[in-house]
Amino acid sequence: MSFHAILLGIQWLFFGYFILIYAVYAGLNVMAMIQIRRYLHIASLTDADNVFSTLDLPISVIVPAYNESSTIITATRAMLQLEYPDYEVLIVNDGSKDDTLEKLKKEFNLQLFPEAYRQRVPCKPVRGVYRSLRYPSLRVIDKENGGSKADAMNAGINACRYPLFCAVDADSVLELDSLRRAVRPFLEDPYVVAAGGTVRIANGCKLRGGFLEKVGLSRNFLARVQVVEYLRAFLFGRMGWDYLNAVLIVSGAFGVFDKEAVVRVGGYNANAIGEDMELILRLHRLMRDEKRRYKITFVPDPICWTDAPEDLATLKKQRVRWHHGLAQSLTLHKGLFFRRGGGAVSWLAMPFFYIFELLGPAVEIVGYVFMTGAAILGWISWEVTAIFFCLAVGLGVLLSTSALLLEEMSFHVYPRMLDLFRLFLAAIIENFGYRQLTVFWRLQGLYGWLRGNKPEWGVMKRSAGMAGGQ
Amino acid sequence: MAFMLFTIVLGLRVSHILHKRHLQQLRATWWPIFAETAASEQFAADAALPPVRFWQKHMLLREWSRFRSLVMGQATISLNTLAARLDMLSLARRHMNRRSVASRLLGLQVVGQLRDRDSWDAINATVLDPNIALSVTAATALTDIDPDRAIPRVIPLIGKLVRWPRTQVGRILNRAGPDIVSTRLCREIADAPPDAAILLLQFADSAFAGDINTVAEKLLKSRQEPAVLSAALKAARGGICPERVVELTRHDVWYVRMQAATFLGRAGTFEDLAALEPLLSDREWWVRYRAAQALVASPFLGPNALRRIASRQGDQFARDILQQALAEKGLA
Repeated sequence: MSFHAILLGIQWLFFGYFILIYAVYAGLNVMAMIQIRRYLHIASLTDADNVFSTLDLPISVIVPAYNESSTIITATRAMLQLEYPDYEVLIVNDGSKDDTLEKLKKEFNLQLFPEAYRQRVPCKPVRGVYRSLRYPSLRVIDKENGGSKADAMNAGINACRYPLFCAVDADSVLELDSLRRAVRPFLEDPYVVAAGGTVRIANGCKLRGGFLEKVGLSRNFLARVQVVEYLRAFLFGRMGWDYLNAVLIVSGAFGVFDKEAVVRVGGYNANAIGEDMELILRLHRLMRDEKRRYKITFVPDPICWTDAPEDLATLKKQRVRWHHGLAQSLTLHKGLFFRRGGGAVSWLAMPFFYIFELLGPAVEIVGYVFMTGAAILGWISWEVTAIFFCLAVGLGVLLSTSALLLEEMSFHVYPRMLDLFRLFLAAIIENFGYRQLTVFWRLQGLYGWLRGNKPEWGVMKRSAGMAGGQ
Repeated sequence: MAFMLFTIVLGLRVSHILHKRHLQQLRATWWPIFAETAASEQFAADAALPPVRFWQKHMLLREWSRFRSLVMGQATISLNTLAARLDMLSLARRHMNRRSVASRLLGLQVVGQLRDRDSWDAINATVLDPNIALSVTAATALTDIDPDRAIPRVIPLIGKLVRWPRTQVGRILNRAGPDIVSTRLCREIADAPPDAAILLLQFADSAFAGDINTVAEKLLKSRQEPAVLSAALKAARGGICPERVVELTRHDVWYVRMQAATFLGRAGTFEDLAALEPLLSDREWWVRYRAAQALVASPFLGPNALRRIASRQGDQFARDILQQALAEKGLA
């Protein structure tokens, strides 16, 4: 085979990879559109009723807190005000070194309670269970630090009383009706074992008393680009997979689970970096092993808002950690690949996540380097290189714009026309530098995982809106 | 292509803004009329109404339907008279025959609200539509038109169409009322296979307590499936042979024991308390917890009697759980 033929083959390999990945994304986009339309039809019916009947399932909201002294009071107050007929709030103080527990004790008049705590899923020892004398639905679990959010969640699962539990980050801002929306899939389909909620970026939004008062866009470029990223990830990424019953991630920031299903798989894995994805993959595996009918679904309504990193250092740590977690989770559950009776999870989602999400950064970087190098060395023409880069950028912009389209077809979260222009601009600009940077970080995450390094947790600096609102 | 998509995004936003504006105008004009009509004894057939432009008709139909779903009794009759004056029925029927699911949903909802008996067959055919939203809206419309005729059609489907949203099914049954629902629901539960019986028992609140208790007792005596036994115990509000429930506190499956404990706490007698005490040492936490709650909630036991029960428990788990239940009631 001649050198020219090999070069041509490599070029087509990269072109083919890019075209295939975007073809899959386009397919997901179409499925997401169908799914969102379907969802909105049913939602319009149940919203009109505003049913708060005895059929609503009671739910435990579990909020793990580690050194959350500055936000925990407002967050807890907000959780206690959610619109839902029957729920309890469990704050899990994961051995905080600051005065998180003292503040809670004082603010909510907590009293040590002789709870017959039973350990159904593994976690570090519980030091005590407190009950609020002011709010009967509030309990605080004080435990030894387990070194992970997963460990704190497991303590919450052990103590919670209701058949469903909702995992919420202490710094998440919830919509008042978030529980009702997230529980709806469980009411509509008895086979649902987990439901993820859409997470949106709170930077630039105005908060008051732990609730969202006004939606806005941050002036910070990084935060703004992440708005587009989140739209892409949640609206057509997860909605598209939802159509195929192949959702592999339920965000740790907000997710509702069938408690018994989670207990059966052993709770959260305290050693997992991406404990949210790892749990979902384990649920898929168990359900398929047991040949149970099940559904892991996704609620597209914007129900949870979270702070995004506004500086490169924190963002880098976050992305490295996410990719490390992805690699770990996919490897831990490699048994799900191409298994008989594995459905779309085994035959579509797992290979997609492995080939395009996990290895994507490596292929993309190699592609960029190879095409540039080959053009410099004169192996391929500059026209071909230009076409390659234009294709990569153009398809990226197209993808982000289609996420904006989905948003506009459904929820119109960003009220101002100017916001749309800003988001479109961010969708274009992110392809020049930002995307390549995140790809590089993800590659670092992959490399770190291969080397067996433990990724760092950055200290999240609160955005102005978040800090003010809390 | 991205610019083209963005142009569509902008177009959608402009149309959304215009739609919102028109909707606000329409609401400002029509909601006071709806409110006045609903408040009046009878809608005056010759009352002057604002003109409705062609492009407003769909929006008005939706708004009327929304308002109509908020009222009950005489107000619905007045609003239906107003709808007749605006010729909403023919528009709703046209919507029912459209391809768009959203239009069909609106059409079905409105013909139901207008109690259009002539549309019965068309709606009846839609009840089996594979689209859940359409099928459940059709079932709701049938119930709105003629509950006596609709309920015998709808109830057997509840056990089969497990994908109907439970909130919607509950609404249909509550709207028809226990006079119509109770006997049929209980008969269906008694004859249904296990899965359907479990599903139907979730709507026990829509039936009369006496009917549900009778069917629950029948199930407890005749069925062996743990899930059915558990659902029957959960649905029953009392009046069940205590020997059978006490027997079920020793069942192999933990959730049957748990429901038996809960039932005894809810409807048990003084004699049944003896069956609850051994459950405090059950190997399953939930059984222990429900037994403890049942004892604490019992009107036959005061705080001292409960403390005596706690102190005579040799098992640490039994003492702990009773202590917790007492603390929850502020009796610790």
